[in-house]
Amino acid sequence: MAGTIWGYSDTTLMRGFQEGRQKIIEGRFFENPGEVIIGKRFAELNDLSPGDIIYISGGKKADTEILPLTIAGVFTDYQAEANTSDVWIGVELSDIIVSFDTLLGSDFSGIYPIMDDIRFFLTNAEASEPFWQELKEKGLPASYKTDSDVEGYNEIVEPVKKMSSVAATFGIVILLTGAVILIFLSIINIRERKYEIGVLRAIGMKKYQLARGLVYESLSLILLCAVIGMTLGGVLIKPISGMLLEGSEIAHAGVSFDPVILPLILLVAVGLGVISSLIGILYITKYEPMKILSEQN
Amino acid sequence: MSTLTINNVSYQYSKTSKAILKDVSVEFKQGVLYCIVGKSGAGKSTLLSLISGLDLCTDGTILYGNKDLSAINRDEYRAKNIGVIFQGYNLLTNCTAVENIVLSMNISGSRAKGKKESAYKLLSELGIDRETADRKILHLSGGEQQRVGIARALSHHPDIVIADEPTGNLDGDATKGIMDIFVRLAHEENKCVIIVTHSKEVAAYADKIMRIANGKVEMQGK
Repeated sequence: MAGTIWGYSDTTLMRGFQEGRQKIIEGRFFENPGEVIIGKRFAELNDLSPGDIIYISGGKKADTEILPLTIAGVFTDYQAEANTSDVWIGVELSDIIVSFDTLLGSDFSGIYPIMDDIRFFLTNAEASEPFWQELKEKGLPASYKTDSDVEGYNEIVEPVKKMSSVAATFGIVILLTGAVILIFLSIINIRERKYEIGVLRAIGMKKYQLARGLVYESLSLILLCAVIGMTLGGVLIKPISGMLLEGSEIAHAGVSFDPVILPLILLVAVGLGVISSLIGILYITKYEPMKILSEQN
Repeated sequence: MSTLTINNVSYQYSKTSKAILKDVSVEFKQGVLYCIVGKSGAGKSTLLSLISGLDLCTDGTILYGNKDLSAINRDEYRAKNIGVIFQGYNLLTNCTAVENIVLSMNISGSRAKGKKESAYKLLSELGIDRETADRKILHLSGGEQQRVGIARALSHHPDIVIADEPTGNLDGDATKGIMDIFVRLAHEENKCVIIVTHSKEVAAYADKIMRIANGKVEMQGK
């Protein structure tokens, strides 16, 4: 009778037990390294029960050592019990199930890992070596093959980098254009309100009080617009990035609005507001109230 | 002691232009209603601008009490010590009448509570009821705007009230109403009231009349 040793890294992957097809009929599940559960038939034929120790040979180490394994429990498989065919793929009642760590510790030859191809997307290609190193230090088994697809990474990232560079340039152009527009708007606003400024100055309002009022007014408007803009940005970032990255391998990576950038945006908005207000305020200091009012009257 | 003393004041718009005022000396006292009369371009409004600190004389000194206007903070002087009633009213048209008054109180640095109520009261004393006081300036008649202008000038209890053609746009009845207010301010509230006018009817209310001609001032008392 031939048997197979199955190693599982995670009990949730043991579907037979999850679905109720397999069940521990004696003892318990393995918990510690070196513990196993064995099939019902294997136990019956060898008169084994939980607490017994079995010795396994055939691994690389087994050339010189024999690996002792403690039986923690006995399981059955109702589907395997009912099977009458000679052809059966799956856990048999003559099999042994161990933890993945126990299986790796045995250093058996002929281990056939059934593992997912796990991919990690890193922020830059240079981070891959330290990343693998860190994974190994944190216990990634040596049986895992690690590989970095730098070329593929560059193929994906280069267009994004270009897009980012275009976006940055576009952003700077928008900022500069916005600053110029804000300055013009501020000057137009001040000119439109020249009469009001003349009246306030004529009845004794000091220049700094007037300037402070205008700066507060500008900042309130700018902060309101910034909040509206950032809210819209936060809402639209996903659909827009999805549209731009559609078909790309990193489309599923997900784009999010980084809150760290909020103070920077507010700082730029406030800076622009103050600069544009100051230009307008220079107009205030230029005119004397008497001149403004006589022009108006 | 004079509230306002003008010593040898001259004024010209530029170094090359003709002098509007030449070596003018005059004193203004509390409790007196002054009228400044003269032809157009004689320098009446210029003298008012100099008194109100909106402009500076090219020669001479203007003293408020014993302080030279050119050496003090003239914004503060306008906000606290003098009330100016402009010819074109110069009210903030996007505000209501009462808001104009409260704004002036705020500029003067008043921290009194109930400024709005005080403003309603002041307007009421000048014949503007609450309903009118809550209207925007452009929805008021010329006479009502003029009264709001007077209320604004009085809102911070200044020693000096100056008015440039305060009845220029008003009919006879309204003129009398406004002039009665100025007389009361001078005689009952002991203010120094200075009015610039073309009108003989207005000048008739004055205690003293200043006639400006050729840059010189001639004072006539009653």
